[in-house]
Amino acid sequence: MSKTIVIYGDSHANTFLRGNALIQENIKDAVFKVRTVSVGKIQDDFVLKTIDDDIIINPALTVCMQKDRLYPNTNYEGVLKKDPNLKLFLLFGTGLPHRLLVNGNSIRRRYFEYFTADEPKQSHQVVPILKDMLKEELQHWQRHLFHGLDLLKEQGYNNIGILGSPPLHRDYNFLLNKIVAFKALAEEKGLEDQFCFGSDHFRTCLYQLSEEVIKEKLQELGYQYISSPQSTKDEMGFLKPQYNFDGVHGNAAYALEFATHIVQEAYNE
Amino acid sequence: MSESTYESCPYKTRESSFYWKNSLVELPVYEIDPVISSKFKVGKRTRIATAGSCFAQHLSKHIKGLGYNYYVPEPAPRIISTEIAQRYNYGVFSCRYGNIYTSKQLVQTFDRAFGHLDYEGFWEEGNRFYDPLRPFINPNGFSSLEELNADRNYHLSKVKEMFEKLNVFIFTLGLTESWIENETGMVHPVCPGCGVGRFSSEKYKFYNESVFDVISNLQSFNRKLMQINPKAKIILTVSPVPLIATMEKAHVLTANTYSKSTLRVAAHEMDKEHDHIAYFPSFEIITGSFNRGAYFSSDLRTVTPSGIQHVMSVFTKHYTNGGITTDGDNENKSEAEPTQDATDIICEEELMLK
Repeated sequence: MSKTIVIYGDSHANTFLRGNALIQENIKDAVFKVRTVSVGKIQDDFVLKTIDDDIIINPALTVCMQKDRLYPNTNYEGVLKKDPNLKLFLLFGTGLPHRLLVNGNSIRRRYFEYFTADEPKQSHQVVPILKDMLKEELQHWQRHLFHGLDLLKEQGYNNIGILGSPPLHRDYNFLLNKIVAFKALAEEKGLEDQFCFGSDHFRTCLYQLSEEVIKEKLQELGYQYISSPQSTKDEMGFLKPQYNFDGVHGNAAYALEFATHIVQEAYNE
Repeated sequence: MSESTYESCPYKTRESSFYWKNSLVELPVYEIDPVISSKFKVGKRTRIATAGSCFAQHLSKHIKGLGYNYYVPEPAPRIISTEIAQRYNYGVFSCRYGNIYTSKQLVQTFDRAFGHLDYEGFWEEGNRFYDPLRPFINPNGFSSLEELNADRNYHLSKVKEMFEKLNVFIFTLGLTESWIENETGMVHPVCPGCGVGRFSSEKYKFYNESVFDVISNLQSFNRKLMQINPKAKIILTVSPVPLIATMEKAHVLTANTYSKSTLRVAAHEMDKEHDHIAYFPSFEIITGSFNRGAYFSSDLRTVTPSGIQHVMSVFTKHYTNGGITTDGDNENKSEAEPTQDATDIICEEELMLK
C-alpha cells in the first residue's frame, strides 16, 4: 500500500497544489492529499469557545477532516486501519494578524531598529531585543494553536505532525515591489527602503526561535515536526530565490523539494 | 483660667483642617484630606515620570488611568504584546530600572545615566547573566553577557532622556536600609543572595541611611536634575508599605518606624526648602490612625484597594487641573505605552521571603 500524506493548511498548503503535477511526476511511492482550510486567520483562531464555554478546534479544520473521515479520532483510527501508511500533517504559515510575522515571507510591520546582542548592528538598529522575550512572545502568539494541539492529543490523535512554513525571503526589493505600502511607509518615515525590514540576522533569529517554540511543544506532545528542507535555504537560512513564488509562498519547485523531504522524514521516525 | 487667656491664642483663628478633632475625628474616613495646598499641578500634556518603591506603581497606573501623560521613554518594543512586556518590566516605571528603594540608589541611577559613574558588574548563574543593580528586571536574567550589556546601555540612555525631558518626577521613597558593594560602592536594590546572586559579607555591607544621608542624597539629586532640566518639578512621597524585614539589631516594628520617619523628615526638608519640590502625604493617608488600620490587608503590609483609591483621589484633587499644562511644550497628548494593565504590583523586596 502506498504512503499517503494528508496536509491541511492555510495558503502555504496551496504550494503543494501548485506543485502537484511535479510531485506526481517525481514522487512515485507516496500520494499527497492537500486541503486548503483557511487563509491567514486559522492559526490565531485554532481553538474557539462555544456558547456553552466549551473549547473546540476550529470547525473550518474539523469539518474538512470530517469530510475526509479523519475526524473524530474514531474515524481516523478506522482510516488508519485501512491505510496504516497514512500520515496527517498541519501546515499554518504566516499568522497574518500577528505583529511578528516570522513565518512565511511577509513582513507587514517595520522593525528595522531592533537588534539582538549577537549580531553586528548597524547605526539604525538602536533598540536591543531580549531573546527570551521574543521567544515568550512567540509562545504567546502560538497559544491557540498549542491549545488546539493539546485538544487533539486529548482526543486521541497520537500520530500527527506539523510542517514548517517556508523560510523567509531575503530580497527586499522584490518584497518592496510586491507590497507597495512598504515604499510609501519608507518615504513617509524618511527611510531608505531596506530599513523597513529587520536585519537579516534579526529576521532569521525570529524564524529560528519560532521553529524552536513549535518543536518544543510538539516534543512535549510526541508529535512530529518537519522543517523546510535545508536544500531550499541559503547560507543564512533564507529561501533561495529559485524557490520563491510571490515573496510569501514557495513555488512548485519548492513544493517538490519539500514533498520529497516530507516523504523521507515522515516514515523515518 | 480667664477667657482672655484663650482670646490671644493664635490657634483660635486657624481653620478646621489644622485641628485633629475637626479634620480627622469628625469626618468620614473617605473625606479625610491631609493636603492643604499644592505647589503646582500637572496638566494633560505634562510629562510625568515615576520611580521608587513598589508603592510608586500605584501612582503610575493611576496617572495612566486618568489619561495623563505618563512618560515612558523606554517602552516595550511594539512587536511585544502587553502580557509579555509586563513580565519584562516594561511600563512598570518610566524606565526599566525596577524598584529604586533608597535615595542613594536614585542618585546612583542618575549618575550612571549621565556617565558620571561606571558599573560593569554582573552575576553569572548557570548559563544566565544578571544585572546586580536590576536583578529581577527579566524573569530569568539575560541569555548572554552581550545581551545584558546592550540592554543596560540602552536602558541608561533612556534614563538620561527621561531626566532631560520630564516635567514632573514623582519619587516614592521606600527604604533607608541598603546593601553596598564594598569594591564599587554601588547600592543594590535588594540584598545580594536574596532571590539572585550570592551573598558574601566580604563583598557586601549593610548600611542604614541616616536622615542626613537621605537629605544629602535628595539635595544632590535635585541639584543634578536642575542642571540638566531646570524647569522640572518633583513630587516626593513616602511608601506606607512597612519593611518586610530588617538587618538592624532592632525589632522590625521599630526599624520600620526609624526608616519611615527618616524618609518622611527628609521629604519634609526638601519640600520646605524648594518651591519646585512638593511632598504628597500618601504615607499619612494609609497609616493614619483615622482609618483604624483599614487600609492594610491582613498581612499588615499590603495596601488595600480602598486605601489606594483614597490616596489617588486626594492626588487627583490637588495635583491635576483638568488639562492645563504647567510645563509641557508641544508634546503629544500621551506618550504612555499601554504595557501595564494588570493589577499586579511588582515588588522586588518581597523576593527576600521566597
